Amino acid sequence: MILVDPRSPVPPFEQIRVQLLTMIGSAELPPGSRLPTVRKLAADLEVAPNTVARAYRELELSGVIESKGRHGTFVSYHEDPVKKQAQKAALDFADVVRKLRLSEKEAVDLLSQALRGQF
Amino acid sequence: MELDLGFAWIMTGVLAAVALISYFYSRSFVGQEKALFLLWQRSGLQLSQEVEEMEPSLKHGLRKRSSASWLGAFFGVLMAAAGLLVVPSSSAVDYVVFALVPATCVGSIGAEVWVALRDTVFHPVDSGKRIARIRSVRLIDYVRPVLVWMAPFFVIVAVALALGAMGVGAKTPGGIGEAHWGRPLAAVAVSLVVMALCFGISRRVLLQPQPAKDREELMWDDAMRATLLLKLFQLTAVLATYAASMALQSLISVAEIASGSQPSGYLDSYVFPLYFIPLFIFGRLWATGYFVQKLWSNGGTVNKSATDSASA
Repeated sequence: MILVDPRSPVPPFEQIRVQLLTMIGSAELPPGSRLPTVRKLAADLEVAPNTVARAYRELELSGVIESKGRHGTFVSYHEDPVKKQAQKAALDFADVVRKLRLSEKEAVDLLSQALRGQF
Repeated sequence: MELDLGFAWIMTGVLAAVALISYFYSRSFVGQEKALFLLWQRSGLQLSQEVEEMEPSLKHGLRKRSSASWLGAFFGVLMAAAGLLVVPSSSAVDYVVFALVPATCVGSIGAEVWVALRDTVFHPVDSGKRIARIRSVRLIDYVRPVLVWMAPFFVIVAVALALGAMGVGAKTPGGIGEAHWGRPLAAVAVSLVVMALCFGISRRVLLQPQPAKDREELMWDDAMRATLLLKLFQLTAVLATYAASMALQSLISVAEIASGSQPSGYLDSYVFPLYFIPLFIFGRLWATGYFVQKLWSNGGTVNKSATDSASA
């Protein structure tokens, strides 16, 4: 089950995205599970189809779910969606570090400071 | 002939009266209470505190569907009666079996489906929380697979038997056996059309939005959906079995003609009750809340931690 609270300060697409991610991470939605269509979920939750489409798109970009055209949208077959998302973020970070020509030590230091909330 | 026609009109009148009386009964307070009680009993859901809150919406939904169903039945009777006026049937039994009862059933279920596809049961308030199932549902989540596949199975049997009857009938002297093909072929064609329609409609029903503010509402919405789908497949299975039993009767008659004897009709009385097999099976399985096992086995809990983090 997914719950959307329109009065929450968190935008509805983020509520949907976070809940889906948690459900997939906890195997409540196992790999291969077929998700409802954007239109159906939007109608059930009484939100705009774009809201659901955005949540689906972001999860798809993270590799957590995959769209198979007319067959629908499915939970991807991989170990841990949270880990997968973290890996993607790390790759993006490494990309930026390379472009800025920073050393590995500098990059690790920056990341450590960011994780400790020192900025 | 006149006696037959009189019987046909009496049956039409009786069905029209039943449909109209039931329509008014379904709109009464007692009728609505009974409809809710039956839904609760058949689905096996718990009557909790929340049900009392949503009772008006539930009763309203049930009343709309029930009223539409009985009005549809009445309309079906009128259509059959119009047919009887235009083409007076030579046999009252043929009229009742091939026109009156099918038109009533199709009218009834058709009108209920129309209302179900037009309106949703619950309408959450604009600013309230909304809940939704995040897994795509299938037909077999609401109706037992055996009931879903019963119609296609009996249609295939009916086609095979009808082809068999045609094959044997072609060998009868002077093509006498051909006279026995018409009815089964018509029944097979009708059951094929109805089956295709039912599968198409059930797909639309599954795509129908289910707005709900909590799991209780979604559960009861599921119960109403399951009831509707069960009715659709009951109609399909009964028609398919009916077509199969008619094709079998036809094959027996043609085989008797081919062997040089007159159709005795002796076996017919044993074959015809086959028609009641799906009714019996549906009757046995009607009360089980199959969808509860399939869709609500984990209690349908909302992912609390995720919801909290999303709302924070």
